[in-house]
Amino acid sequence: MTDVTVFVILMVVVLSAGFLMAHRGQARHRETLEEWGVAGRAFGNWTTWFLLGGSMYSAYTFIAVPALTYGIGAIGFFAVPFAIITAPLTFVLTTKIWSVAQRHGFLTHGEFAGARFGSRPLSALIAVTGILATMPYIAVQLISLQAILRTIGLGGELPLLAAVGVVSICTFRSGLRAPALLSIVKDVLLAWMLLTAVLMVAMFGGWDNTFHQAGQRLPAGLLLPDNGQLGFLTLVIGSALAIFAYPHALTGMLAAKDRATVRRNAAALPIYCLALALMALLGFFALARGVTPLDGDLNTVIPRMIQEYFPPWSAGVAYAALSIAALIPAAVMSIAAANCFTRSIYRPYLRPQSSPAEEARVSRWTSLAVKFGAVAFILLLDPAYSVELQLIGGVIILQTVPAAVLGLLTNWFHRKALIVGLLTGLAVGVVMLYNIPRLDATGRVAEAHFGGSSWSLGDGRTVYVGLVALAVNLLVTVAFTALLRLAGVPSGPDATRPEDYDTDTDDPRQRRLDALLDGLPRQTIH
Amino acid sequence: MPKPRALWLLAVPTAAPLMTPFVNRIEPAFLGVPFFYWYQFACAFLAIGVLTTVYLMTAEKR
Repeated sequence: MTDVTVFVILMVVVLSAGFLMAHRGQARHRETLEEWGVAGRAFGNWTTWFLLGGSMYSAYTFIAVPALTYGIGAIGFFAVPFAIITAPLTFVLTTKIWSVAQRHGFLTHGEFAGARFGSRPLSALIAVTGILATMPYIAVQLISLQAILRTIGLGGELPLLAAVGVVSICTFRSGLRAPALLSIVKDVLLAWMLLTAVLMVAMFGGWDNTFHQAGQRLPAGLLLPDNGQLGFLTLVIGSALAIFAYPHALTGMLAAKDRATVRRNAAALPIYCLALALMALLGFFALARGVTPLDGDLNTVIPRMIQEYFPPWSAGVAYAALSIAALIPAAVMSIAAANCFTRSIYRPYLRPQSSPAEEARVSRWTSLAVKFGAVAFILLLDPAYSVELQLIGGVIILQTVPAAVLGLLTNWFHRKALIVGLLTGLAVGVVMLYNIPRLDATGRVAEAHFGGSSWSLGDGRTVYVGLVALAVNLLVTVAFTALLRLAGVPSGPDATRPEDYDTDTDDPRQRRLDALLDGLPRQTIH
Repeated sequence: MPKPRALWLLAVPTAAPLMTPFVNRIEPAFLGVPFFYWYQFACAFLAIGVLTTVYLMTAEKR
């Protein structure tokens, strides 16, 4: 019982601290979407680092990745190289989008792409794609939280609703500052959990034994099968690109106060990769020790391992770390999705004259709706659907890469070509996913559709669907752009200028265009 | 702004984790962890080192 007591006490302390801080912060902050949605772009090195770790290395990652290595071995380790290559990409790409967003007051990819290619429909389409991809991502976070609560005997709807409710109120009041605060606590608890895990492995035979026994239990062995390389690498590259298109990953970065903060954070990001890699190896430990999941749900493998092998009070700390790690990304994602709606749909289409205060209000309520929508989703529907939708989400968000990510490097693409390419990519991706059957252990078809994101090439090799769809998308975009240019159809006006991509906060060229164009009040820039 | 040449160094930590066809082996193991797995830990350290170097080389004048 000690573990549950420690867990409940920690959760109550942490969440009420968050609640009180949120309450205190309320008076100081002006009511604008930039304050609420990206914390006034004022976070320094440490806060940004914790927030990024909190929003990208979520409970779903810490629970699902070891569940994968537990279930299928080496392929499950794809998350580690994927996380590592995002760091150098962040160094280059994120500084660009930070600058242009800072200069024009953008909060989302959709706004940027809309301004870059001169197209409101493109902006709205990217926002809708982002929201569709984010919703199931929030749902899987809450499923991870549910898996933890169930393992320790706090199943049912009430504990889940209570935890989500408190975090929603914090977020509603103080926006991105609430998850940023929780992230710091989470990382301390998580470090404790990893330390316990390392000691646990050392006490129960060390890595030598662990890998020896796990190797015997995995049918494919500890390494990638020879025909598994293509599937592995396409999954790594596809997932890494998707990170730069997911709304929530951008939100944390835009909250940084200057370019140097973004760059320093990129250099420090791989520290989280080490934590992730260690968690992934714990899947092998669980397998070697014969930990069995609850009701066959692989997401409960890590909570079960903690329950069996951690000392009780340390287990309580670990449950709290994982639970908070589920709530933070849920909060950041709901903020990001709300900003997408407010900036790319509400403001351009519904209320062009909306004031910054009104934008903030709309985003607040939208974030609440998004979060409780996700809760309703997992309580009312089979959780398996959320996992399937999350899979689809990864594939569809990749389709916004040409406009939202490549757009940082070039404005050559034609706006109409981008829209056609995006829609084609979405169609190809979803049709391919639909046609992937799920096989059971004996190799028979258990379910006819949405059985994974690896498309079989017939000779045992597979390829990640998202990357195939993105290739088709790019091909269509390039072909249509060339055609439209030949036909002399004018492309949209590019509202950004080349120097916008490397301006910094205290750059003398820096003048807030939103202040000039929309008459928004100038933000105090630190 | 002219593109600093130092940025090309970033290709190293981007490519290194993708070398899985060449590192798909058990030996040499490190502390009992097969090569395939500890290689990625090494890549993370490499990324920290290279990114820090590039950051220092391209630090924008204030």
